[in-house]
Amino acid sequence: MNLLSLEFVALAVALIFWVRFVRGPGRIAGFLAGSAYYASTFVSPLGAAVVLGFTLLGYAFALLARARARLTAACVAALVALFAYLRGYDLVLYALPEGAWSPLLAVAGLSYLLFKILHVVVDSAGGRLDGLTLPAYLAYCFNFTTFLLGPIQRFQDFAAQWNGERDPLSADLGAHVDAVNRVLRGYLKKWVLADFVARWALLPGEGIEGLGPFEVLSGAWIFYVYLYLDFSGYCDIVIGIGRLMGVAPPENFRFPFLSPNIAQYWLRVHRSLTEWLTDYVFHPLYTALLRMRRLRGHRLAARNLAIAGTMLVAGVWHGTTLSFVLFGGVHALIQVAYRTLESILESRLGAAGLRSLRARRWWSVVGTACTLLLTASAYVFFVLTPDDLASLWTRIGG
Amino acid sequence: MSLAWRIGLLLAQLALLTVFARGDVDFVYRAF
Repeated sequence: MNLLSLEFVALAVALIFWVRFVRGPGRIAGFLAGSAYYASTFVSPLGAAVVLGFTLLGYAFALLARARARLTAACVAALVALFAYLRGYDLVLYALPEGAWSPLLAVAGLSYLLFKILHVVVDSAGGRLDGLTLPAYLAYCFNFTTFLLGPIQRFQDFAAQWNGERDPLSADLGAHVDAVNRVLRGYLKKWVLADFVARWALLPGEGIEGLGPFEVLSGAWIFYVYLYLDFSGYCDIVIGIGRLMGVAPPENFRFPFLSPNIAQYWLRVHRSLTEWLTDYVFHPLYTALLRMRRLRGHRLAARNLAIAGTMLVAGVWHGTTLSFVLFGGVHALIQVAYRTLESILESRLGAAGLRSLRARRWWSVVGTACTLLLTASAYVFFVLTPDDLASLWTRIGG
Repeated sequence: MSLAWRIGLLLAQLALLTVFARGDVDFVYRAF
């Protein structure tokens, strides 16, 4: 379903009124029916069975983890392995016999669904997840504002708004007009500005035949602008709709082009993904590394390794090929270099000296320029296939 | 921003969308 279609607008308006004004069991049933209809327009019958099966397995694992916390890691591993098979990661397909996988299994929205489900399973084990019932879980997973993509909402945040403990929209008319304006701003970003920029961007799957290295690089830079407009536009649309409905996804973007350093960049672009990765990859990894005898007392090394691991997961989550491993790897290198530089400066200048350096205008300008250049250039790995990357490497004399 | 400005912004955005918006490529949805 195209978000620009009258069909989507009618569905969104119907669900806004339904969730706001209907009470009783019909409220969640109607929301689920509308969300399931929306999801069904993106997947085949086989895809729908895959999505439903994967989601229900996640619920079973959440209950299992709640009853037996020590089984949580096994549940997480099983879900990740199943996800890697369904999405058809190159490495997995290489290991499988021919015909053991079909592209029909790689349904839209599976990457987002995985992170939502893993969060529910892990938090269930920690006892941090009150009110997890099957209808609430399905409404959370299939919520039409975040099913395909968008901010990665936590169950607690969804449930608090669904139950009316927190309303993302104040009662005055101005706030309602602001929410509609947010939706329209998203449409303008996505269907006017992004589509305008797309003609100069190097888009995935286009190939690089006849393009020189600088044309590839500049095409990737413009792709970054395109992706920002496309994805932040989508987020504006669903956040605006969510506010009107009373269940809004979290904010996800804040002018990433102005990030003064790479750490800030990851807090300004797809922030909900960064927060998810911080909670469910970085912290467990960092804690585990600090417990290792070799790394005990080497906090910077442990932190850098945990950051590198987290960035690799971020890369692999974005796509199934080697290019995305490299995308994550490049971000890992940038992050580790930046954190190490900060650590060296702190040891030389002291914490107060580093704060004073950060406050200087020239430091901020140089940092913003470097961050923009490096993060925009890294999109080369996002856009090009491994074959295209190899061809480019040969052309520049590698 | 006053309510009148907000409504003016709403109408301006609607007008821009009506003139320029074309619904075609949905790259992001296919990618994930």
